[in-house]
Amino acid sequence: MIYTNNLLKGEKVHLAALNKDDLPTYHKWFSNTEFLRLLNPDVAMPKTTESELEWYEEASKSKDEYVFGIRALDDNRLLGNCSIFSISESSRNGEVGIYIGEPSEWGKGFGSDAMNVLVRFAFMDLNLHRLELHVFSYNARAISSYEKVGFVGEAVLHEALYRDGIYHDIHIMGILRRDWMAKHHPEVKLS
Amino acid sequence: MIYTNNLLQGARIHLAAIRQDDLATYNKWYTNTEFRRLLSARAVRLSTLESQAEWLKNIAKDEKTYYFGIRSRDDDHLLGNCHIEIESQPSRHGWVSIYIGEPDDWGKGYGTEAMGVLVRFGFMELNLHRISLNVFSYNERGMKSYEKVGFVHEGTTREALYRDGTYHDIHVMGILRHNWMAKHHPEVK
Repeated sequence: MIYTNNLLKGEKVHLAALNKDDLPTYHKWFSNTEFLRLLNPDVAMPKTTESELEWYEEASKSKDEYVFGIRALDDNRLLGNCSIFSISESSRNGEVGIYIGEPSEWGKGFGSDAMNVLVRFAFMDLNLHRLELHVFSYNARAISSYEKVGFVGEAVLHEALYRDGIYHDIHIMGILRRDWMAKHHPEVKLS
Repeated sequence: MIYTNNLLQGARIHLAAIRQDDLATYNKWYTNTEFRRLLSARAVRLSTLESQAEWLKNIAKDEKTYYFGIRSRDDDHLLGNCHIEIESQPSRHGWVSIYIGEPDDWGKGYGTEAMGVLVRFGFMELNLHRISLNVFSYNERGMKSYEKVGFVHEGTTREALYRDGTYHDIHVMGILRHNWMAKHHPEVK
């Protein structure tokens, strides 16, 4: 299987270049504190339009991060965003981040589909050996989505995240290329 | 116990500001590839006195990280370096890194002692709740030292480091303030 025509295409979504016209949509998502508290450990502070623009300009120029919009295959609407960053060139690994921004689109499998494509891109195009991600202990939906893709729980940072009066754990999950290959391309003999 | 006069002091070492006239020593350490491959996952890129001076300038501006030289208390000679980087202010979470630079000074307990002081600084001065570190699977001396201080192995990122034809694991270790307090200050409720 050579992914020439469908490298960035999944079953329901495709990964697309960032588009400046989408910034108002991002701005709306980044005003939602429920979303912000699933996304990262930062203080849940709504993002200004200026900081959205700055993020867009940096992400568009970046040569060491791969940032994609997630769009629906049916009507091309923007669903979310995903990226590969913190890439180690010599150890061939990187970190991934992903989100579906619109709460009404959660739970429909768009995130798992997009993650499958992102992982395939990392292994089949970037030649990475390993990917990892961080997820909060209270984000059970995300953990089961990542497991579906093939990520395995590898470490638990105890009480690394403060939210609502108590400390929560942060899980580190990882996936190795040869495990992904064995599942998706068992016909290929690995050297 | 209030650490007012001895906040940065251990039995044989103390944590001190990094000095301009230490840079030649740092630069000597950074040409030792054995040392570099224990220290960092990055491919070895040899440093110069100029890049060391640039590093010193940058860390002076870095407000979320606390850097220290490790010096012996008897003759004040430089043994190594350590730092705490605050990853999250609201979650009170920091990452530490430490090294003894001179191979002759390895295995004498200086690193363990300095880590004890660094962790105490993180909990008693910075008000951290948790401190984390990464250590390579082939650095058994490092792991043993961190366990002595009270760090607990929390997991392993598989094959996260390429060295010499194979991929090695990286271990994640962590220490929580309430566990550290129970050990060192059981009198404090």
